[in-house]
Order: sequence, then C-alpha cells, then structure tokens
Amino acid sequence: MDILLREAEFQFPGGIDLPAMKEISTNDRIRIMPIPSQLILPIKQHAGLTAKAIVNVGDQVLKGQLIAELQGEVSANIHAPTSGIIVSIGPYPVPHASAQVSDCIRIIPDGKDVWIERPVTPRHYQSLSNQEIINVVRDYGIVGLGGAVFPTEAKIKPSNNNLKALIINGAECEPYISCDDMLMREYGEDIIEGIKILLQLTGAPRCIFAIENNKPTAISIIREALRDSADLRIELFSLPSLYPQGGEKQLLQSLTNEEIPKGKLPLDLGYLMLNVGTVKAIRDAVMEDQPLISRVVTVTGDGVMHPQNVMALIGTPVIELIDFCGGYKSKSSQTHQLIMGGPLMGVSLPSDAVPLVKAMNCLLVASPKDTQPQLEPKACIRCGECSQVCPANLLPQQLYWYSKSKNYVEAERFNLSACIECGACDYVCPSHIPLVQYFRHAKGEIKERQEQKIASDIARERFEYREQRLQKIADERAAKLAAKKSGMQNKTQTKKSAIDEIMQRAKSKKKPEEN
Amino acid sequence: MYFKVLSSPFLKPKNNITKVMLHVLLALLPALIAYIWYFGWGIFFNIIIACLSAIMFEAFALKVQDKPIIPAITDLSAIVTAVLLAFALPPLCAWWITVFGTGFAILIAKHLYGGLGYNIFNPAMAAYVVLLISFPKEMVVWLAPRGVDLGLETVSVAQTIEYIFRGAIGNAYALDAVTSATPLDILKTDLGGMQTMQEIKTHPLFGSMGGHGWEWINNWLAIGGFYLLAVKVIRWHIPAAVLVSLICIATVFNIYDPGHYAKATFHVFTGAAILCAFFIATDPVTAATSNKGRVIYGIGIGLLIYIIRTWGGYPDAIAFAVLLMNMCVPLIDYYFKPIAYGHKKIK
Repeated sequence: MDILLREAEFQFPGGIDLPAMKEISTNDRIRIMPIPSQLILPIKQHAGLTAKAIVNVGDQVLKGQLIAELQGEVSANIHAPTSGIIVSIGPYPVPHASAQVSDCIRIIPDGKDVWIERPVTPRHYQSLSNQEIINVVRDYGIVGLGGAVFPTEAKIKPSNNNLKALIINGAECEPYISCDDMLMREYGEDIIEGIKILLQLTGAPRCIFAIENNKPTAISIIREALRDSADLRIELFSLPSLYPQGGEKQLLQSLTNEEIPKGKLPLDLGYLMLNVGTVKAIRDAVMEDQPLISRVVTVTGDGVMHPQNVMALIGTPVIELIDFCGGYKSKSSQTHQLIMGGPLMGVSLPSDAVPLVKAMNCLLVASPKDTQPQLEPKACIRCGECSQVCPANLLPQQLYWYSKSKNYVEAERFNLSACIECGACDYVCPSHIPLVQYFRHAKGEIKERQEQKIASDIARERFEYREQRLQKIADERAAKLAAKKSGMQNKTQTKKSAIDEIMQRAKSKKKPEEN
Repeated sequence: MYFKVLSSPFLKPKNNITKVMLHVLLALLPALIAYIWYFGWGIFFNIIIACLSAIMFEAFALKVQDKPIIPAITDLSAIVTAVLLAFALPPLCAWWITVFGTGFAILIAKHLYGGLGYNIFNPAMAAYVVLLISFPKEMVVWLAPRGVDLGLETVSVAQTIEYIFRGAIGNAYALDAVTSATPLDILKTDLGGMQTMQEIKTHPLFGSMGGHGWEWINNWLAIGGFYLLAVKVIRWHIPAAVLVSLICIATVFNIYDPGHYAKATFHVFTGAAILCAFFIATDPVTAATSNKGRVIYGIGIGLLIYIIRTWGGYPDAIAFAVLLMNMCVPLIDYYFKPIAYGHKKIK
C-alpha cells in the first residue's frame, strides 16, 4: 500500500520566502549529550501557573523524580533529569522574554543516573483508559515543545468529543531551526505511535500530518513509517515553504481554509494541533514512563564551531551545550548574539549562564553574517509591503502610525491584537522600521491599561460600596438618633405636660384660696 | 560570556529605500531613450537641471530642519521626484521653470508637509500643476516628434541648450518654427471646432494607436512598469485599476458616439496615462495602502483622467486626477481595510 503525499490545498495570506539555513545543522545525526556538571531547573518552564518546589536543599533525588508540582488547572510538573543532590533553590538567570531571573532548583548530578522506581513491564496504550493516558501526560510534565510550552494536558483534556481532526505540526518554518526535522528523520515510528495514542484518546476520525516541502528526507521517512503502520486515518500533507507556515493559525488555514475567530481556540473549531516533538514526548511518557526530562535542541549559527542537533537534559547550562558543540568560533561576543529560538521570533539572551528549558527548540549563536544589528530606521514611505506579507491581513504601517503616536484606541480599531509578531513586516520594510517592537510595546501598554482599568473599576466599586455602606450606617444612626430624639421629645413633652398639669392643678388649687 | 540583547526579529532586512528608488529610475531608462529619440535632447538637460536643483533644495530643507542630510539624499527619493517632473515638462523648457518646479516639489509639496513619507500630494504632480497654471505659455512648447513632417525645422542640441538658458532660439520667430501642439491639444481644439474623430485622426501627429512617437514612449514606459511589477516595487492593483477604468469609460463613450469620443487605445497611448499608471499613481507615499483601497484609488484616477480630458479645460489631466485622488487617500484608507485574521463575520 502506498501512502499518498498530498499538497495543502489552501494558502494563508502574505508570508515571506526565507533562506532555510537548516542544512548547516542537519549533517550529523542527533547527538546525545552526556550529563553536564550541574542542572538548573526553573520551576516555571511552561505557560500557566508556576509549579511549586517539593524538595529541599540537600535532598538526594533520583532520575525522573518529581521535584516541583503543578498548581491549578494549567501548569506542569518538573522532574529531576538525573540522580543527584539539590544544592540550591532560588533565583537564577533564566532564558525568558521578560524575566531575567526566576526561581530554579539546582542539582549537582552524582553521575550514577539512577532511575526512580518505574513499572517494570512495558505498557500497551491500547489497554489504557483515556483518563489513564491524560494522567500520564499530566504527571510527566508534558508541554508543547514547539515553543509555546502550553501544558499538553490542558489541551487534550477538553478535546474528547466532536474533534474533526488531529493536526500534527511538522512545518518548522523558521530559518536555522531543524530539531523537528531531525526528530522526524530519526524517530518517525515513535511519532506515528504517538499519533495513534492521540487518535485513540481523542477519537478523532483523521489525523493530518503536515510537513514543509523543504524537508524531503523527513517527508520520505514519515511516509515510510506510515506505510509500515498501515493506519489509514493518518494523512500526510506537504506544505509550501513559506514563513510563518508553522504558526498555529496559518497552518490551520493552509490545511482547512478555516480561520480561528478572535478569542477562540483551534479546539473550538474541532481541531487539536500538536507539534511533532510534543507527540514524541507523549509517546515516551505513555510507552516508556519517561517524564519530560530531555529534548532535542538545534545548536546552530555562524558563531558556533559545529552546528548540530543535540539531545540534552532539561537544565543543562547553555555554556556546556555550546562547549559540547565545539564552543564559540570567536572569543569576543561584541558582534554576536545568543538567541533562543529562530531569528524572527526568538528571544535575545544576555548570557550563556542560563539553562536549557523545555521551550528551547533552538540556540542560535548569531554572527553578523546571520543577523543584523538594528539599523537606523527611516521614515515610512507607505509602500505597503508590510501589508502584502502580513499573515494576519493587517495594515502594519497604519498600526505603526498609531502605536508610535500612542493612539491605542485606533491601533485596536486596526486590530493590533490579531498581530502574531511573526516579524515578516520587519523583514520586508525598506525603511528598516522595527515594527514588531512598536507593536509589542503597544500591546503591553494596552494590556497594562486594561489591567489598570480593571483595577480601578474594582477600586471604584469598592469605594462606592464602602460609601454606600458608610451612608447606610450613617442613615441608620441618624434614624436611630431621630427616633431617640423624638422619643426624648415625647418624653420631655409628657414630662412638660405633666408638670403643666401639676402646675395647673396647683394653680387651680391656689385659686380658690385667693378667692 | 555576555551578549548584547536586542528585540526580535533579528534577520537582515531584505530591502532599502535606495534600492526601491533605483529600480524606479532604471525602469524609466528605456522610455527616456525613446523620448530623446523622438523629441531631442531637451529632456536630458531638463533631468540634469531638475536633479541638481532637487538635491540642492533637499539639502537646504534638511539643513533648516536640523535633520541629517546624507541619508535623505542617498535614498534617491528627491531624484525620482525630479526625474518624474522632468518627464512631465516640455522638452524645450527654460531652466528657471525647471528649478522653480523642483523647488515647489521639494520645499513645499514635500518638506512643508513633513518630508518623505508625510506628504499628502505627489510632489512632482503638485509642481507640474503649479507650473501649468503659472506659466501656461511656456508649458506648452512641444516639438513635433521625429518622423513627423509638419514643415517645422528640427532643433539642434546647441539650440536646445540656448533655449533652456536664454529662453529663446535665435530670433523671436524661430520658436514658432519648431514647436507644435500635442495630439491631446489637437484633439481638444479640433473637437471644439466641430471636427469628427475621423477627420482629426488624419493629422500627421496621430500614429496607429495614440500620438505618433508618444505611443512608442508609452510602450517603453509600460515595459518599465512591468519591470517594476516583476521586482515587486509596485503591485498590480493601481496600474490595472487606472488603465482598466480609463479603457472602460473611453470605450463606453466611443461606442456611444465614435465621431466625438476618441478610442480607448488613443487615451491609453497618448499623453501620460501609462506614465501615470505605473510611475506616478503608484508613488507609495501618496497612494492608498490596502489592496482594495488601491483599486478604488486607481479607478478614481482613471475616471478623472477621462472626465478632465474630455470635458475639462486642460488637454491632459494626469496631474489633476492624481492630486484629486491624493486628497481622497485618507478617506479610502479609513474605509477600505482588509479584514484581519479571525475577524470575519460568521454566517
């Protein structure tokens, strides 16, 4: 039986052609990095609530042992990636867009790599109930590995009924990043097995496996694996290489021509979308009882000696990861940049002391060959190239105008919130205006204002309530006083009348004497 | 190791303004050669005078505003304005007219509105209209194109230079011996003189489609325009809207009364319709920005060209049509926004 490779029928608006730059890191197989000298595990590596550390300094932990527990509905567990001793729990530099430091659990490995006790017999997912699978995904700290690190349990739990399709995202559209590509090449069968688990769990009638056509090797390996698995529910789609094809919204549009309405999720339209890395992690958790303690990361860029993909433990210091790849090409970092993620949506890191986190799909050591220091922006000539490439169908030049003049009401009228910050507009702008920076800033301001408004609304409500309450008390008191007063008055009046009466009587008594 | 922290995206930008402007200048080159072939070296000198004075005025305007001069001059936007204005001027044009025109374009139409990116009106067209209204006699000194025998004397390079700097050639009568009306002028006056289209078209200035010579310059301009489309400096919406709307309205009236209304091909290939469609209406600063808005903007220009040419007081109407639509751009931008992702109305 041959597996059909179909092409995506639709296209999202805009998009840009970019040099893939993936070939520099796909020459070797994924190399497994040995245990590093220390492991630094931020207790917040996911979207949602921060996990709570449940170990103490000095504790001996085993590989796979739970060290930080999830809190609330949207959160994720964190496990020890190897056996060792907890040496500190406290603030440490972390790779994050907004936080410089955050609480981390630091482990010095003992080198024995002793696993915590796990079920001995290999499991069969067919015999597991949906709740059991969901529990495994939750317990083992699985989060989305495409970069958003959304806790997977929160995504799959509500997806049980009426799912139209499961969509597996293997697009990997951003330049330089190749970890999904390599994962598909080397773990194709595992990924297919993961898909089967998810199909059983969700009861979805079909699964769309989508890969960008600049990854022919991955496509042919997945095709092979699908042929072997003979599961007709899984369909393979190739997508044109067009950034940002791998964005959740863009991918859905390319495959189904459906748009996710504002404020809704793919699930509301009946689609569950997961990254190939996440599917592999789910499979490893269900089949091998392995928590999310390692991931594949692309270490690449002109500034690193041997660009390649590495399977490393979560918490590995970035400096050791780079040393594992031959170290930096140049010792001076003046002109270099360290980027977590790709060159369009990545996060610029100030130092290499930070650890590998679940969100880190790529570590780009960028020399001036790869990226450009910010250029002096010129005036917008309204050429409109930005709106030609915008995948969200926005008018970035108008948004820029309103963001710059702090006219956030108008910016919202031009749907600033629909901007996915993909950076396509920046790339094509002939005036080199840092558009995304303006948009990010404006969004932050709008959010802050909304929060302030909510806070002030609450404060006003409370104030008004308090005023009301005080008024009520005052009224009551006044009423009481009035009642008392009138009572007193009555009393005095009765007293007065009594006195008058007596006086009258006295007078009347006196009168006859006078007479 | 420590690294500098920047904000994403980090990728090298693909384009710059200078590159965009260079493409425009390159696209005008074939038409310029054709222009020189048919109408002599006049335009060449006009371009040089316009460019030099444009750079001068640009530098002056920036200096007064305490803005950096070099980056603004090297972006070539002032040169493009100067060249487009020179294309609109008659081939025999006194130097001070060209200088006055570029001065108005750069100082008033561009910098008084805030400089590159902020001007509401197309600077070259604003300047052209000012010249046309202020110096109507000087602005209609056109030559007969090469290959048309009107019994006129040809103008040598030396005479061209003499005219440009002295404002006359030889004696006072010599100018009349070399200048001619444009095909659009002839159309206008002859139609006014109750002649039919068939009679007018026998005039030697008329070629197979448009005016003789003009049609070839326009062909080369169109080729330049297709080059700009190919390198994505401009998009198809404006040129297509201008030309299609002009063709549509001209065809309707031509069918209604072929004796009084010229054919669509005549309107497209005579005068500056093609220059306008590909090079002037597409000036990004003064055009609408969304695709839908650009179509509306282009249609407006196409219709206005026809209306002014046919019923207005001036033989050609490009500059007026463009300026009138420039005024509508904020309104068009306001009402013709694309529907943002996720904002479609659900049926």
